Amino acid sequence: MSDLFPFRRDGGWQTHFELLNVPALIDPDHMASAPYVVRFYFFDENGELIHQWQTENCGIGRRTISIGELLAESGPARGTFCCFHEVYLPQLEAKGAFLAERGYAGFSRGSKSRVRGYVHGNLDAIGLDDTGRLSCLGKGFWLRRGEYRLQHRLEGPATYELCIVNSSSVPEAIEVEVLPEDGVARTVTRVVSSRGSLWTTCKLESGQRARVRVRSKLNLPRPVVFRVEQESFDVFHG
Amino acid sequence: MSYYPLFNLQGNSGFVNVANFAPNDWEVTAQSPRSVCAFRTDGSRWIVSPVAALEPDEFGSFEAASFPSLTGEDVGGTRVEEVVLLSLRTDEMAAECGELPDSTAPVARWPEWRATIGFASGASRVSYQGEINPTPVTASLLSFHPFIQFVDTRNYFVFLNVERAPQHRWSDLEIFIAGSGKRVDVRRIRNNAANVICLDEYGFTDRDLPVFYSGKMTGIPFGFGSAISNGMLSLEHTHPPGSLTVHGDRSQAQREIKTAWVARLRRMAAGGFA
Repeated sequence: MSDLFPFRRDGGWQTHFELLNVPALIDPDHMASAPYVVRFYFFDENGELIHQWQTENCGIGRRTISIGELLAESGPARGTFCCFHEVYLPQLEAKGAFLAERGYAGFSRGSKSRVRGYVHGNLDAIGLDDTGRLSCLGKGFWLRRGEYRLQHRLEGPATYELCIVNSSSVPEAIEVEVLPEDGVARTVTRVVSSRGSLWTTCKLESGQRARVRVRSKLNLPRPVVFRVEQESFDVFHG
Repeated sequence: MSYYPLFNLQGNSGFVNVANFAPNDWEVTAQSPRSVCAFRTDGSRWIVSPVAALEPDEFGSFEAASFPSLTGEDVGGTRVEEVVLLSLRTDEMAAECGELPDSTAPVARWPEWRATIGFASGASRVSYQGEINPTPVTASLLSFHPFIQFVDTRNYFVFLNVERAPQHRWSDLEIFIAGSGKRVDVRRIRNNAANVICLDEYGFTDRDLPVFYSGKMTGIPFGFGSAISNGMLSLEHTHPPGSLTVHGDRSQAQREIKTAWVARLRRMAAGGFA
């Protein structure tokens, strides 16, 4: 299983992924020197599969993968990706458990700083079975829409960019409401395909503050938030 | 409900924004005024101060500069920063208590009731959505650290611990390279504090995966980076080992992963464990 991690390469942004030997972290004695295959799948904002990549992994170390270098220059500027470690760990399966890739995506913006801001994965968003079939694992409410409230106050001067991923197997309407402390609320509503992502931007001037609410049948539509200032940025998940 | 830690970090001022509204509309539906209390330990007791009253739906903002107790000291190469713990409460607290109390306010789990916890310099600010709960004194820490950056960055490991008892206690934190098992250092860490260790002195390469182990203390481990050229900040916490698996018994998975790694590092390291 893997989370669906956002990637972006618009406006000078770069995305990296810290590829660790997760099987060896789980079982170091048996997996430390056993080579195996890692598969990456990439999706555009509409959830369409745009690229696959695989690499052999071995040893307990760290490999920083440049996502932009894996994608065609003509490909989409933003989307999501997932990562699967193709390993059989009998001690896990005997307990009804699965290996989960909830690792770390690093973002940098070349013109501002080469320091990366990291955000970790959270969800068991997508699975890969023995036949190579991908299945979205996100759940949702059956009848009602739920409201997720970002417990972060947006503060200017800054531009906020929010990314929300649909990890369910069906298209879902996602409504993002930005409520300024003084001003008119602004709402963006979009039907997001399975494996797709909604990206929305909100610019606040100095002294302005706002809140964000997200409504959807997805049971945890919490965004990855980029807060971009003149000379720096911050990235975190809700 | 949890606590929200406020502290300074390598000359960057800490801040916390607390939200008096639930993270969703299905777990906690009642809105009510709540107070924010600050807890700090002097090594023998928790000193409690009410610092704000929040109406429903309101944010409260708190800065480390407002708390003179937030000092730090260097102990054998570890920077130990005092921490103030902020808590949203509906009960009245006495001015002192012998251990951190449970929350009386409603609890959210999906996700947890979080605050913005961050640090600011003139050039930059960085934050995460988080909370911290007191940990058992018998628990251990195993943390894999993939955050060291090699261009224009000073790198630090930050270990944040909160326990119910206010008395100070110390433990050892061992630093290894996961692949070779080489132990590169042992540092002292303290409870109820943010312990900051500079990682640049160890000469880690971009293929090394540092691993941190403490047999007698646990908490939240972070990677913190500060750009040399323009002061931009980077902050992220690592997952506990149990997060490497899903379904099944996660606590058992965590225990087994820790057991396997402790045995492995014990075999491979030059010295033994305390």
